[in-house]
Amino acid sequence: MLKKLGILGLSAFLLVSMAGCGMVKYDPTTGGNGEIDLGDDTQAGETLNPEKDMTGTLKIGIPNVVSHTNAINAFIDSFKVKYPNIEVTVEKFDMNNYKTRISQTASAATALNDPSRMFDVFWLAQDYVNEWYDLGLLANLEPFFEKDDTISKDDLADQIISCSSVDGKMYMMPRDYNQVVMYYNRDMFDAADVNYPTSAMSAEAFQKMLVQLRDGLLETDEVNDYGVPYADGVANIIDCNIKWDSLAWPLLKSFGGQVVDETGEVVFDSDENLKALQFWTSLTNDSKGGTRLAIKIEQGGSNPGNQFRMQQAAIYFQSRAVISDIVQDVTLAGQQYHGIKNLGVCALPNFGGTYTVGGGASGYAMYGKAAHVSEAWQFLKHVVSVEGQNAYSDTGDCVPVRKDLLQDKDAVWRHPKALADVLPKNFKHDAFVEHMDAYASTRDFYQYVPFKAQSMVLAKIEEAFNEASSAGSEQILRGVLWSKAENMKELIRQAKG
Amino acid sequence: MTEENVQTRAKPSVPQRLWKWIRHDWGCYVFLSPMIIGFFIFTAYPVITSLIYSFTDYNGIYYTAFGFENYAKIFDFSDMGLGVGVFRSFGITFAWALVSIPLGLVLSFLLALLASKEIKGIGVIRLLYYAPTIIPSIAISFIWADVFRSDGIANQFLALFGLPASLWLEGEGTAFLTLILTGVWGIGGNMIMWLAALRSIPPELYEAASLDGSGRLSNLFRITVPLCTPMIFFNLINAMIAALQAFDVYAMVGHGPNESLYFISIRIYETAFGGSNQYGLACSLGWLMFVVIALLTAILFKTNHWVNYGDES
Repeated sequence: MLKKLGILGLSAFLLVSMAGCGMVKYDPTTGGNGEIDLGDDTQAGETLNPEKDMTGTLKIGIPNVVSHTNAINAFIDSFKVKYPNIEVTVEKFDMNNYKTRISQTASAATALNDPSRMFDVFWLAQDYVNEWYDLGLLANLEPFFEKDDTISKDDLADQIISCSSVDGKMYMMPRDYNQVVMYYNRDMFDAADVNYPTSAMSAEAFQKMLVQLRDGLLETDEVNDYGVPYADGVANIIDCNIKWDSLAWPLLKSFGGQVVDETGEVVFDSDENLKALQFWTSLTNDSKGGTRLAIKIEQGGSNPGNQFRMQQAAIYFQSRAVISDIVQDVTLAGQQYHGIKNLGVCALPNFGGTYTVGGGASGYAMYGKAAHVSEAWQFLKHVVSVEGQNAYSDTGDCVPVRKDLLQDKDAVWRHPKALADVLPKNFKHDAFVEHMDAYASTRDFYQYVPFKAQSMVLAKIEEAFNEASSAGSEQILRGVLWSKAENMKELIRQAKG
Repeated sequence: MTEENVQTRAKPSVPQRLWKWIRHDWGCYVFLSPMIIGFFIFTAYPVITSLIYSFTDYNGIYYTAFGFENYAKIFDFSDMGLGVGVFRSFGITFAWALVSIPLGLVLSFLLALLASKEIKGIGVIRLLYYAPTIIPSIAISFIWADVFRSDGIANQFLALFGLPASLWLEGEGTAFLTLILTGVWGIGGNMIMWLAALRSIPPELYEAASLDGSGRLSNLFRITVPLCTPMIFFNLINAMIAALQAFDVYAMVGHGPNESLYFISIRIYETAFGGSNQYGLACSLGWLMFVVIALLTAILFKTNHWVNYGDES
């Protein structure tokens, strides 16, 4: 009998403990939707613009990636000049688990009703904004902008504000502008005796140049910085991850393709998207002496940059955020890479007829129930301030989000101290902001897709490129597009249901 | 001794009995406590919590409603419901179980028959067949993905003989068959179990059967197989549960071409962690899968009259 009582007691304990764990019902009146009450003007003034000697704490969460660490260190170092008595702690998570860990931390903070368990500020990419807004993780920054006279949204580029907003309200403070560019190794072009690329090239001209480059590299006797002859070492001409939404979606769009149209109809299985896939597979399937014009996903394309760094590929599609890794000697995952000594850059060519380039922003958000609102706001303001942007720009990895700095020829981002000795003198920084008006991001069609289905629809685009990678015929490519379109329809229907 | 005293001694108070119980068995409970506490924290609590979540639209942070909405969605076969997708996943999972379980059992049994022969070098053969099972299944998944990619080793092998390349895991019509091919890799684990069962069969039975003129085939079906039925049943139960929980393929090829390998466990994972944060719905799918496995296991136990437990029956 006593043993049964003991078991019942333990079970009761279990049930009681459960009542307090995890299960929190959404209550819009308690600020669960990211609306932070700033109080009256006096209270708001103290929160938004505290004294410079204010003391406080600030907890920040970021991915454990070198470029993120460099960025946050630059921001914090310059922030401490303004607010020396605010203690900043940074916690880093593996990039693969980053989204989950942030959600889990917020879940624990919500369940235990202890906002201090969650980060006051955390990094996010533009693709996360809708999902985390839907979870109520992000603070609406509009009231802050409205009540704080020391900052204006007008200082920021329109494209960047768009990337940071949901329904016209900003939920992310942008850190930098990311536009995909074409990095190239000038030494490899010189070795192959081919002219450097330009953004004015048509798809045909670009493809022709790739063939010339391959032929030239396979015939030259010159060796790369690793001591390997180009003719033996070159594996692909283009190194990139075509599944990356900043490449995949603009490629489709440049051919006139769409994913979901304005009426919410899935139109992924279109002739335009087929042409885009055919164009790309024509590069990945064009092999001579084992050297392809573009890397296949399954042969390293999902982990791009390594072949370019190893000087086994001459061209690399990426954004500014990785430039310091490319031009400096680095060790990544145990592999030592020499920096590319003679790096060139230009905007992407026109692939499909309608010039389109992948672009967007990443940034930092304030937690919807932040424990240290004033400190968090000061930090976010600092991120987009001239001082903050210049501090980050000095690392070399930043294209600023402020209009005044973007076009300023003398701005720090065009002359970063950290890369002063490694970037060629005539390095074309304008390439990172060229055709900004033609930028495309997944938010183009996200607006027609329910929040719950957005990331899964994106996953279907990735799968389409994955499966197309090994498809040889038009029939198979059509089949891939059709099946993914059907999957998308089902996902959207269910999300609406 | 008064009547009152007798009653008091006969029925000690609850605290006294509890103290006596603890004093008598405390050592046992101290040693058991890590397991008991661990069971409650890591098994009972998540199981009960997931059951409660399954009645909510919990998204990892909060829920807004409590009810049978998730289960209604799962059994809704209209365009807006999940029924068609979920039952397609169950269909793929059952198809996998129906093919892979008999194939695995029969092949591993035949292998065990071969490996049970006391011939020179048989130890090496046993080791070679068993060795693959010590490699983590996730690592094997990545290896198979590499072997069966369009210009992987499998197609290179075909090319050696002038044969055309196959799509293997990348073709809708070939993905399932390729997956079955990869399943053969793990038969070494079952082989060891069969070997144990084969060795437990008394040799006198075979000797007596030989004297009666029984041949090898007759021995196999009249002695070996009947006496191995407990092991067949054990392997069958384990293989069924493992097959219905198949997930390793996700690392190999995701959902497969046109979702041809979209197993139910993969659907559960994607529902929770695929980006839509539908943890409540994933829990309800998980419970549905649990009920299906429990029912099938119960049916197997109820119909296990064919299992020969020797004299016990």
